[in-house]
Amino acid sequence: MSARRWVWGVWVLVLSCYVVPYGLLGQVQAWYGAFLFWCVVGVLVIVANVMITRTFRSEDAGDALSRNDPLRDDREK
Amino acid sequence: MTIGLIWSAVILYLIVGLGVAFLSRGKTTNGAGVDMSGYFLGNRQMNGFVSALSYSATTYSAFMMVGLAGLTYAGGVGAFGFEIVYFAGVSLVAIFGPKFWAVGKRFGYVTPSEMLGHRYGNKKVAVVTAIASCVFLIPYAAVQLAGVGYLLAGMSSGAISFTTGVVVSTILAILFSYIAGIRSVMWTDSLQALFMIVASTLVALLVVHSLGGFAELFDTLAAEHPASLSVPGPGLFSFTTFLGLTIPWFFFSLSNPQVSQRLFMPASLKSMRQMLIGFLIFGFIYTVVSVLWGFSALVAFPDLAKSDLATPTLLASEHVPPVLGVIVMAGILAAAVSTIDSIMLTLSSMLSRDVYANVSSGASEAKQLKVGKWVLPVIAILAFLFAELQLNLIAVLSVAASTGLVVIVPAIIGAFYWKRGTAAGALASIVVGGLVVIALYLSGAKPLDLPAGIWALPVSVLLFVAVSLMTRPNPELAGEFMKTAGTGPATRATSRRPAESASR
Repeated sequence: MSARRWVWGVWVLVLSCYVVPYGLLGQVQAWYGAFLFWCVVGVLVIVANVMITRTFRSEDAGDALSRNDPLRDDREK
Repeated sequence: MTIGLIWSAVILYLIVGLGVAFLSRGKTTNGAGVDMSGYFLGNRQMNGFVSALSYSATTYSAFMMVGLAGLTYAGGVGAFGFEIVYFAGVSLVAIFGPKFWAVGKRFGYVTPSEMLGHRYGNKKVAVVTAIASCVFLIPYAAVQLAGVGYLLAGMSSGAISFTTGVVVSTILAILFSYIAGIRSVMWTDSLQALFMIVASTLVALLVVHSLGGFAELFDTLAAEHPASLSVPGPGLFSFTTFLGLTIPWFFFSLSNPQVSQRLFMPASLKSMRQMLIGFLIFGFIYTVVSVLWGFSALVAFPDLAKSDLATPTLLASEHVPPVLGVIVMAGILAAAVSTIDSIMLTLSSMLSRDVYANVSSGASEAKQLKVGKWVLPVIAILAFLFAELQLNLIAVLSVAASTGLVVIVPAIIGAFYWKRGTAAGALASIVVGGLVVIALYLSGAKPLDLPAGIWALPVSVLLFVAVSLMTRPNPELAGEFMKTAGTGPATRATSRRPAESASR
């Protein structure tokens, strides 16, 4: 999966931080409710960042930028 | 907890911290030819591990173990969600980090405000951004200093005065930032970060264990405080309050110069990656620990008059042996000082680079550095005076800090992704947006019943876009900047030239 898709994954996770605990889990008053959900989101954010930055290397900025701009449509898929 | 034990911990922390600060001195920050980039950016040669720990210590202040624990105590699990949204926002480093790094190398930027001034072709943008940062961050630093004052006074039952605590933390922050600039800040930060995470995690585990373990803790919460495990919970985290808190904090990694300046410093993108991932692992653990700390206080002491007392009460209780309590106290002191010294160093670089150098003719690198070193203790003394005076306005500006700084975000994102953005648009969004935030906080007004934290970003985006469209852009400067950042049209690999500070 490309870096760009992982970035979209982060935006979805952020959105879910509002929708899921306030919507689906609003009545779940236990550790497996909002607490567990936000824990899982935190871990997934770490995973997403590992994937987004996996092409960051000790090299010239130009090469890295050409591969790593996750907001461009026309970069590697 | 005895006074002798508290002072022993503070003095030991002072000696070890000063030792590390002196050992961190090097040619780039204390050699004969040291310049702005050397003193404030470590010559853009910082390694990933130290950068990660320092970024963590700078970001996480005394707020976590005191404020976030208190928020959890009062508002339940919503406090955790608030912090996790901020945490997800640090992903912006993965997107903007390489761009900051590339343009910093290419154009020789020392501060994020200098970057904006150059990109928009107008020194006023740099001056205004630097001043706005000072307006919000000096009060924020002052409140951190006051926090140390309250902590030491609280834990010693008043035997150590509030003023003594503030003086101790001010002196520590000045020394840690002055001795070797960013190198002493980063190395002492690293030491403090390790101390913060180890001490707080061990003691939180100990407290949870003494309360019967995780299962017992959450069973008790579910039985006696069920609302604390859902949102809106006890009422503090209504959806609009949650939005108002989280939107500005989501952009913290871009809006706050003491962390966005760090994007100029890594030796390579590999180092930047290590910084980011290292920070995320640290941040996740520290966040969970701080929230568990707040939950533990709620179970152990459910009837505290004020939620701010959750941490001091827990530390002074039978659940924490005195020696471990004083270790956590030193960890909280370290968290505060490591944030304050980074803010002071960044603000002094902004005032010398973006204000002094832009209003004074013939401000050479050497003169800028000299002014920066003079300004550093002045900022510290200002923060100290604000902490001592405890003015209402300072408290308001401190609370408004994250919201106030988010008005800079449209100009930052526009710099990289919108060629049509202009200096007038940037100035309008920062000045008018900042004034709107201050007015909303001072008056307590909530237009449409929405808090200032929700209004700040749309207001500044609207101003930036509308004023930019009404004024003429500088396509050459914008094009060169965006080409270097890799966001310009029809570019792939961009500038491969070495740093050319002469092009500024």
